[in-house]
Amino acid sequence: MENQEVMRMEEAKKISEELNEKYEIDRVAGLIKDNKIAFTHKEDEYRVRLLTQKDKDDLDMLRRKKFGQLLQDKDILLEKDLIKIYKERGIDISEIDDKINKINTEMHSKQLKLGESLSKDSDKSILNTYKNEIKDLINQKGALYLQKSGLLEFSLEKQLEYFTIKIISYLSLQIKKDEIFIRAFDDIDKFLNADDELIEKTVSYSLTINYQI
Amino acid sequence: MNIDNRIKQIAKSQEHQSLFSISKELSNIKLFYNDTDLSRLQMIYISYLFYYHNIYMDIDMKKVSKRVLDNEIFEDAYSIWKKEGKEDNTSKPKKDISLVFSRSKKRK
Repeated sequence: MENQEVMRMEEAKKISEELNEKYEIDRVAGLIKDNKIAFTHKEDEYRVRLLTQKDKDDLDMLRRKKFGQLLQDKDILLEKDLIKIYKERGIDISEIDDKINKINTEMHSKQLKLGESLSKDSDKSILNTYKNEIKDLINQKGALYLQKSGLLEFSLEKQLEYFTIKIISYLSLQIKKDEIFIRAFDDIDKFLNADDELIEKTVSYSLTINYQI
Repeated sequence: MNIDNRIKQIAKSQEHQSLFSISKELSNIKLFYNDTDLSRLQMIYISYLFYYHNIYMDIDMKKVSKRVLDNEIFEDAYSIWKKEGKEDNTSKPKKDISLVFSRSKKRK
């Protein structure tokens, strides 16, 4: 009897997981159709949508302004200057790039071999050997990319990219007032001073819909 | 699972592949509410629709077995191999054979 109950619970859990999966797929399929993500935050209704042409003009203006500010800040280095300093301290970014290129070449060659093996319907063990080798190369490449982006995180270019993501988020966020959606914040500074949870949600949803520029 | 992988999963589904095929045939069947200014999501979705459409076509034509759909590494490898024209190279006649063919044609 107890066994039956355990099996019933396991079955219920499985059905619930399948329903969640179906819900998620339907949700994303809906997003693809209309490019809007609605959410509630502290009882207010928000949505993030695709940027309009007017928003893109505002984005361009705000980004240029930020670029000018960053350029005047002597503490923020351009990527090429940062790379030069790293090299003087014994960290060669071009070596990381070389390693990435080498991995890409090796991966490409293995992918071609695997592709050919698949077309010939080769033995499962051959396919899995290639698969595991490629998987390993993907992981190695990922680690190198992570290392490189970590080193260049404070470059002017990266700072501008991070700020651009915030501008896109600010421009795409709307709040429902009197049954219509309007821009949630009057200016970018007010958006940046909003609470962290709202900013985090907006950035994540906004990047889902809009291109990362 | 992140959203890009979810889109890949959707584009791979039979339901969306059928919708894609129908939308190519019938102009009144649309994939999105908007016709222009596609979002990042929509671009990813379209590219995966094409990507899986090509793989399914090859499975139907028995160029590759269903095993190719077992995992992303198989799918990518097969698509790259095909894109590089390796498939065509194996079926194309060799250069000297085509020369013999053109010479014999001349004689005719």
